[in-house]
Amino acid sequence: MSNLLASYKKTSRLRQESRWATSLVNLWLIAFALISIIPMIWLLLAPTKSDADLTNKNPLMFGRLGGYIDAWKNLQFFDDGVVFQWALNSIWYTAAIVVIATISASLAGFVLTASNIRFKKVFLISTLIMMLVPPMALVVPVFVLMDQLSLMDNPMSVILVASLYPFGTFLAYIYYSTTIPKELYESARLDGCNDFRLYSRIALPLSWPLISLLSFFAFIGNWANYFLPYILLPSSENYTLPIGLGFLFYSTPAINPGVGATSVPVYKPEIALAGVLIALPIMIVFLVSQKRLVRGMLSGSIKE
Amino acid sequence: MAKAKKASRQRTSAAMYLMLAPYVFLLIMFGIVPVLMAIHEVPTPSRVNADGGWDAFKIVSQDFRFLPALQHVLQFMAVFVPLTLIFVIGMALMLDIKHSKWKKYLRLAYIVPASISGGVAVLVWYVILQPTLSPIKTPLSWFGITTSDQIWQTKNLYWIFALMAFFAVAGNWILIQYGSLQSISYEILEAARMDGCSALQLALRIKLPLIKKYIIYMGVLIFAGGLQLFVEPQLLNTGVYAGIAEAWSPDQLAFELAFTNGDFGGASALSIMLLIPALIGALIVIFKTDMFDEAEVSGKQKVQE
Amino acid sequence: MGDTLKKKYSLIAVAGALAVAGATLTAMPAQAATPSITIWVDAPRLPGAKLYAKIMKGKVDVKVELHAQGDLVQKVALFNRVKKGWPDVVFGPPNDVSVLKDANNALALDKYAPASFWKDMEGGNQWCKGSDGMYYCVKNDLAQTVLWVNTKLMKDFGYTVPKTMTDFAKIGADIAANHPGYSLGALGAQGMYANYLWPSQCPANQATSSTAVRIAPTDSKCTRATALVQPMIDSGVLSTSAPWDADFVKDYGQANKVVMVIGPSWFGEFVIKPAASWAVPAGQITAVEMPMWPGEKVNYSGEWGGGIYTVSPHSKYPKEALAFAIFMVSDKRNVTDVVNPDGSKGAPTFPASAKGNAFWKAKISADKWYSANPYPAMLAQSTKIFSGEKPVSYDTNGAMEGTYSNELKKTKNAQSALVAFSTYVTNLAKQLGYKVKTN
Repeated sequence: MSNLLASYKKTSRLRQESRWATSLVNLWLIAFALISIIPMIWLLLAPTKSDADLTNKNPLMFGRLGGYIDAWKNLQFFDDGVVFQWALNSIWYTAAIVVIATISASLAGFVLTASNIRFKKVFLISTLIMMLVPPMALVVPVFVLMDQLSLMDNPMSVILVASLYPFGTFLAYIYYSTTIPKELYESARLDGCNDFRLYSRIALPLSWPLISLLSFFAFIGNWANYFLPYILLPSSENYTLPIGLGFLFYSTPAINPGVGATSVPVYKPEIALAGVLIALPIMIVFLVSQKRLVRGMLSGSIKE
Repeated sequence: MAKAKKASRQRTSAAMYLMLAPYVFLLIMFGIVPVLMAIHEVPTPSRVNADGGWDAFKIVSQDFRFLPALQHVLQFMAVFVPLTLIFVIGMALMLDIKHSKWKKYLRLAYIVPASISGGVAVLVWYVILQPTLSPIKTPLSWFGITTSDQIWQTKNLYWIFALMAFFAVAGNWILIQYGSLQSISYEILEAARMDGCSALQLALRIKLPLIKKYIIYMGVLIFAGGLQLFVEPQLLNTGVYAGIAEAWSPDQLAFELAFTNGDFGGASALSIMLLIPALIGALIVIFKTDMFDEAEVSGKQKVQE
Repeated sequence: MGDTLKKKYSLIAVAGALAVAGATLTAMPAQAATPSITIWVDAPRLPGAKLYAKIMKGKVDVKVELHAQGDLVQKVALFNRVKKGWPDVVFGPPNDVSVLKDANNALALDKYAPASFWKDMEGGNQWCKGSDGMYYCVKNDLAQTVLWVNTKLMKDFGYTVPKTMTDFAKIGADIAANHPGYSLGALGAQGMYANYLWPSQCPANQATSSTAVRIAPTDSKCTRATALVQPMIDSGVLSTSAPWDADFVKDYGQANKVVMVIGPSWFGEFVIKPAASWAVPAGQITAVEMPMWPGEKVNYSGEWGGGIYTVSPHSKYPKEALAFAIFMVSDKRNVTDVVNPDGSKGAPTFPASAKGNAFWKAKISADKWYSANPYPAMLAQSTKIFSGEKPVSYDTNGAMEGTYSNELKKTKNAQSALVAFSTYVTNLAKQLGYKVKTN
């Protein structure tokens, strides 16, 4: 008993000693939080200001709300409002990818845990390798393949390729194998469940955290994806917002006035607005789902 | 055990294969077929490899841009990977010292930069590291940086890209590693405290070893992610500072070989070389972490049989 | 639960249906009755191209696509690979003519336009002439360098317009000593090459045939240029940034501290005048002829930009495609009348066609923003672009903007940067099978 008391004293003394250290740590934690949000604050403020104000006034000063409307109007000048088309493209390509990728990955993860199909190991290992393959490594052959399938400059090409979601399958596999005991499947089978029902009645209801996690990663991975649409969709009416942003970079005077400052009214506020259109949805999704993100990522092997 | 397995294999139905089919279709069509096509593409004749053939590997590795690109990406990784690993783990441990409600908001702040990637990242970092526009122009001036040409030089790019990549991934990983620390049982920690462990000792001796496999997993994913450096240098090179990052990364070189030089064989050869780190990474995950096995206990036993 | 699954599957079905719908729309064959062409232009050429599409409605189906100059070559490589998708006529940077010719995507144009047009272009289209004497492109504009002067600052400081580069350098030294903070321009991007090295006849891209090029950084015509600028780099009178880098714009451009600057003929309309760029007030700027390098008889210009139109050999309607280029360079409706999004009118650059140039002359000469008419100097220099520099099959402009500019920023040494540039392009050239002469 006295032993216990002594050790309690010891720890509390230790805690007191490190109080200054704790506040130092807290200060640093806060400082890094501030550093983290400065770029986003700049980005959100930029469209409220004029191009000249961006250079001459305090970078973190607020301009006026109407600046957003002006910037949007100016963006419309660019190629007859093609920006709106880019936004629509981004939305529907991403939606299609999220749906296909999430469903195929979730089903695959389920099958790989709930059954003893042939070549399971092969599938798993090739999944893992595919997770780590740099997309660039496959761009040239994917390009040739899409041509042979006559899908060049067709949004389907991007949607299909991006729907291959090995990371999602891996995640689903870990999730199912650790959260759903095999006995559950066994007993359901004894009750006469067929394999489809096994998924829809047992696995799916227990895996909503997984589904949201899968859609989350599919969303953030593809909403901002650049490379694939850049290669596979050469016509500007098929661009997505990220490709469009890159396009604004090198075809407007915003950052590169060598392009011609009189030709398009797209300057830094306008290009920042395009940036906001890309970054804001991701940020919102992040902030809303951060808890689930952590829980889901760890659900694989950590018992809570 | 063996008997049960046999029984379950018999039950594997067409339904299971059907449910796996969408993923397997995608995996084969857009994962495996392209790799095979890349291999098939290598011997295609081109201007530098007029006779075609497997010399393409040798010719690409002798390209005058190959070694610099490799060097750039190694420099970048040498900054980015340790910086991110150490910083993330440090931040997660610091967050874990004491729990307070307000720290929740800090964690939210940390993931904000993750939404700034690709083209947006180039835009934002162009501004931040451009002394006349920068929201941090005062701190920059402390380092004597007052004009853009002091920063935007090819020799500084690996730092700039490392910073971009760091901010794009650090927040998420801090959250994940923080979460993994949360999973350590209270009893273990309290027992260690009883033994007189300081917060620092607790972190280094107890917490770190317990989350080791997540750290390896993170390391591999960060490493593989870092190898994919393409969009940022490419956009910077074509859209902001023309030519500053020409064929800067191996990915860009592959792109340039294919689409500027029309050397699809060389590009494919380089692409295949880029697969090697991915394979090594996969092997590390398989053998050095139990991520893969623990999840599938029966699978592991099967291998050992 | 089964319902939710069904819902998800039906979502896939919807997505699939949408995709198929999209596929059919894009795959719809063009009507054979009227010729149809696809045009790629960059942003400054867009208003003219759209106007052309409107004018031709009913006669030719014109599809206009906005395209950055930078990735044209890459896109063509993609199209060559899949053997379809080539646009009929494209606007691009001048060096592309050689690259596109190599990629079998630049048609010899002579027989698709009347002789009168080629006569009209004779002075302006030498760049496009292949070694076989055929024209492989149509030059949109000439980007000959001139000396832009701020007449107000020149008067305030008591300087006279320099006739020789030696005088130019003397003024540079005087500014450094007596008016610190003022500038003679920026060497970044293609500044050093187009404004100094090329007019000095430095062999940086002297292609002598389609397989031989002379890249000789230590030639005296190069070293005299680098030696001339070096003291001005050291004193800060010449910046190593690009003229549109944010800090140069702020510290020198908008502060109105650029006393003189050697720059291409589009510099006034593109860089010095616009509100978002240097925004120099009206009544201060004009252009004069290039100063002469010591010992020369001709005050040569370099060229910075000056885009070209090329027609694809894969085009089914090469005549109609070329007609678009003719419209752009010589039709009054584009050269001076087309309305740009910012309200300004006409093409901003010096037309390469004599006919188009006459229209443009009237416009620019009447512009009260200039303190004196800049056109005579532009005209005089337009025939004095030193012709030693030629199109090459590698991206030499990219290397100038990249390797050269970067080395210059790093070392602040114009000559060592030139050597670094030469090493890089020598490698590029050799890789394409060029024989490179380095002295």
